[in-house]
Amino acid sequence: MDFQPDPTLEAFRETVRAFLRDNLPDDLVQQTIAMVSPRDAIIQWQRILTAQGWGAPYWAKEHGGTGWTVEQQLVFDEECARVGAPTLEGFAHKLLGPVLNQFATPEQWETHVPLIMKGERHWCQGFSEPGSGSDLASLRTRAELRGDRYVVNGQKIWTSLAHRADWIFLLARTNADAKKQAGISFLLIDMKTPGITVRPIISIDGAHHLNEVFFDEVEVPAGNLIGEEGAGWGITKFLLNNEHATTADLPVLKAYLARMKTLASSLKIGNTPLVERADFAVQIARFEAELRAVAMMVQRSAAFHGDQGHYAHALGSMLKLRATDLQQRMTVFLVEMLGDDGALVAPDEGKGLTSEMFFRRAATIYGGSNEVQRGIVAKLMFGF
Amino acid sequence: MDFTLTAEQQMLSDSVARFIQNEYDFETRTRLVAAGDDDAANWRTFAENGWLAVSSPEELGGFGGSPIETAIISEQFGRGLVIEPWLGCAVLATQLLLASGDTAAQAEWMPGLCDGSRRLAVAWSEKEARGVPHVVAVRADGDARLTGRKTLVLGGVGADAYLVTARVDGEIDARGGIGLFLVKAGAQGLQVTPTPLQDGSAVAALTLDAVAARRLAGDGLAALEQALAHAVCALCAELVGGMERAIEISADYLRTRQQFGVTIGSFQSLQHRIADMSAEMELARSMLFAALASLENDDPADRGPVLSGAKALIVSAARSICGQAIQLHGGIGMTEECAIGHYFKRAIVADALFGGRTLHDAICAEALQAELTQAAA
Repeated sequence: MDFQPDPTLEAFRETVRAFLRDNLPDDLVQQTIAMVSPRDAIIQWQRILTAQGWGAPYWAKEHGGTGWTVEQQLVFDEECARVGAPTLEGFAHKLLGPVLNQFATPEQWETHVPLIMKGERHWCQGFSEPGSGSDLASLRTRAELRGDRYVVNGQKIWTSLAHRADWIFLLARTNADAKKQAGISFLLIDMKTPGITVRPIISIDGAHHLNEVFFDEVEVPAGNLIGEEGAGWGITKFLLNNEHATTADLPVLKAYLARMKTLASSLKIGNTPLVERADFAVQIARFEAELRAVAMMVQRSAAFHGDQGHYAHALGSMLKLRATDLQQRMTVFLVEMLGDDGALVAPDEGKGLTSEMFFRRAATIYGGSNEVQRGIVAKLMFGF
Repeated sequence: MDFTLTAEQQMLSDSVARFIQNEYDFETRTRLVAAGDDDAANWRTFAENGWLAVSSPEELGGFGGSPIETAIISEQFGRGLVIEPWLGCAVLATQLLLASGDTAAQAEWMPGLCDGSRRLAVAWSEKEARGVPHVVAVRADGDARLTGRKTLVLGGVGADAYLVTARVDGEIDARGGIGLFLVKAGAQGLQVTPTPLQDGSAVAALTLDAVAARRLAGDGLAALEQALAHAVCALCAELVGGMERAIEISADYLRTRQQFGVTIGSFQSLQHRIADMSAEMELARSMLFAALASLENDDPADRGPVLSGAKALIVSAARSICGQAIQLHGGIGMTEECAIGHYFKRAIVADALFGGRTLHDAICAEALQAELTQAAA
């Protein structure tokens, strides 16, 4: 164990900073704290990254990725967020991409990955259903093999960005008789296929991220099945295992702290900036300290990358618990800092912060609810 | 950064863990506490295993390790609730002597500290200091004679000598004018009063009445702050070990205690509580690593808020987790003979050592205010 800074990692950070200085166009920089960039910005930014040879920052070299270490990936994300670079298409890069690299046939890989690298094929994730939230394996959407195609019928819900997505990766039941996990398969579906209907769900932040997606006799070429029939559950566990370090949303947490500091200087009670008041200063300082601990926990979790052991897995769940709780508390406090404006739909100050705060209620629900994570920790760490 | 223990570090950790397991179980500890004194044999064991010398420089008889090795030992001692004055003597006093830069004092004392034949303790705290190192009312006159009262001297019972901060100039809370003095045990005018702590360990209060002392070279306050940085990290490591062990003991209890015809570990409310305790403990461990990284890499001026933030967060976690561990035990957790309450006691005592949560929060807040004021200017 040692805590010496790694000089090669710091050199890498400088490389990323220089690249961002020289290549991030001003009109792509986003000033607001937001989850996902506009589609056009994502496409433009992806092209710039691909031209640099950084088109797939999270993948191994053998799959056309940069081959960066997990630590390098964290530095890349952190530096991009710091200067307000657009997000990448996260479903493709962080969730589906690794699945394709691991489980796709060469033909399937060639069909999708080049378009991901161009930023032109955006994805959504068709997992949850009205009756299958935490109990995902109880899902009922059916995919029935008829000749050379699957016919899909059913409904997905909470499908983030389905209204913007070109394709969906979907879990569907291909065998009603098998044990519930064993009957599930992993399908890729073009969202333009006849029979797919997307209906918006407006969430409490007033925005449209979420959707219901209906499948009515949707015909999918059998070649769009990833892995074997019935292998969908195993693929999903592989996919979700890659998710924990992402749900910590460390760059977003850092953006919250930066915002707190800005507001603490600009907002006043009478003539006194909030930061000069001990009550506000102590709260912000506590958040700063806790964020430092969460950042180190992210590093620890990242260092376990690829480790399938109980402790590594449980640490990911514990990280999710702590980081999402911090996200919620920080955004609630940001709104509190706004004072009267915190109550307004259209405030003078801090536009977007209340939406962000409302949106963050989802953080303890998605990616396996925090109650599910507690169950995982209790089971893996203590055998309960 | 590398989070994996090296082979040597693993051996060190294992050897301390073996000592706790084989020679320091809770019953043995209870007997030591009842006897009202630490066990000289245990201190010899620490010395023979090289633990007392682990983070001292090789040229002074040590093994040249870093604060990480100290933390590894501290964590295991925290698991065992060791009452021997490891923190006060082997960490705080040793680091203060090293930080003083007084080579003559180092040459005289370090070999004995490393081989366990002699012990130094640090008398820096005073009733009004509450963890602020530069609040010093004890006065040194022109002949280096000290007068006043020091409290919470860790390892102060049975020490061979004391490193004492005393004011040579200025008001009680001035940062300047603080000297570091060496006072021999048994010196004329020195009264050492053992004062038991809540956690079963014994510290001392010193009353000094024109006690002859030798002033050490160097900036006394800077040296003390450096030594306290090491001590805070060691205490945090100890608490992380304590939390980890309290959670293990609680999990064992949930596996065996039966109510309603089932083991209580089958209840989801208790499973979720212990999962949350584990997550909070791992966050605290992460914070310990951040503190050790800062101690290793940052300038003393920059690491103040990092270490204060670590102390505040880790002590709070320890109080919360160990308190919940009592809850998981139900009534038995309230008894003196059950180990679990003693982890909570240690967490409560830890808050009082080196400044409480409120003080360290304030240090972080002041650093934030300075940062933002500077940015605005």
